[in-house]
Amino acid sequence: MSTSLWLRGAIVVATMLLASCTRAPYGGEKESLLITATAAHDVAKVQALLDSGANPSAMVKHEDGLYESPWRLVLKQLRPKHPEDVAIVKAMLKAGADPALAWGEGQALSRKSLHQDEPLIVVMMHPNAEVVRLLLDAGLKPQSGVFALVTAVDSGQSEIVHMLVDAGVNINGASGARTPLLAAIEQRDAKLMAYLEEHGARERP
Amino acid sequence: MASSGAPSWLLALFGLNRAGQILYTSLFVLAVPALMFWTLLPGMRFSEADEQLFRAARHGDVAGIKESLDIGARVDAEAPTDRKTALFRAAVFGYPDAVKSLLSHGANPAVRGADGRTALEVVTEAIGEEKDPAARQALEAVASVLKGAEPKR
Repeated sequence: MSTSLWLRGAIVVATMLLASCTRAPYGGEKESLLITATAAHDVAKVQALLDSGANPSAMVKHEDGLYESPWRLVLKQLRPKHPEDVAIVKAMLKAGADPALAWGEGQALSRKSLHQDEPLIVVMMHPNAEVVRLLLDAGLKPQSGVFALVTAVDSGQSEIVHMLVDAGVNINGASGARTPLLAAIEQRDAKLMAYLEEHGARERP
Repeated sequence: MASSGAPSWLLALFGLNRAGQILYTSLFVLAVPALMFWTLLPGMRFSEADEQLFRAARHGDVAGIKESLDIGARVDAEAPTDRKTALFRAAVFGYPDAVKSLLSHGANPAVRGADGRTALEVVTEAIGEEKDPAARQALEAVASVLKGAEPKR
């Protein structure tokens, strides 16, 4: 247990170091058009811009003067009432968007800070099974899988739970103080609880 | 005075005599492992039999509860994660028979989990949230069993 904790810590530090070395990608005219088309849920226009070589991962100035990449925006704006956004996600993944990294910028206390969010975390704010499937199919090895798993159990998204467990997320991992089994118990979701038990979930993780 | 090992300025600060030095030093030395044990103990004491008891409680499996108690599960074992007992597990999933069985084996209905609530409080809140009438009926049955239970002090 302690070795795995050290290993995890080392991975986090290494990822942060690597991330700080990565040059943040910034876009131009094409990307501005792409982010406008994405915000308008315009699949045909997004597809045309991607075909003409726009980079979905490159950031341009968007709302409130903050930089945002079309890739992060489409993941952020996923809602059940906009099913066309799933097609945009599909097109961007095909055009080379990274299933493990989404660039964007947020307002930290007093200065602007760059965000390198993991797409899975962004998607789990408004869980969408289809998009999780797309990310995993695109080769995502989830780092924040336990958080996503607990969130999926909390929101009763059994399809996402099955996908994440099949993708090898640690079923006895803890997100904060909560394990997936604990989330299922708190939601009184007997079906998900039985599923988690079958895959080895325990009270003592 | 300076032979106790602690720096002399620290002892001068507290103005302790020899007996006081020994007392406070030993208290401090004992407190560290005690604190460690206090935080780690629930996880260490949670045995495989306890795991079985919780599993049986979650499924309302009365025979399983008896079986796990026979092989050495503690009826008031606390889960290492949320410090709730098997009674909570049987209660929130709406199994009055399992709750009765646990109580008859000596489970304490007054135990509070890490969130500070008893099983009855948790079930009462669940009744308010439950939409399905059959499930609500089961939870109400559990609540009446818990209300009738004698709390142990």
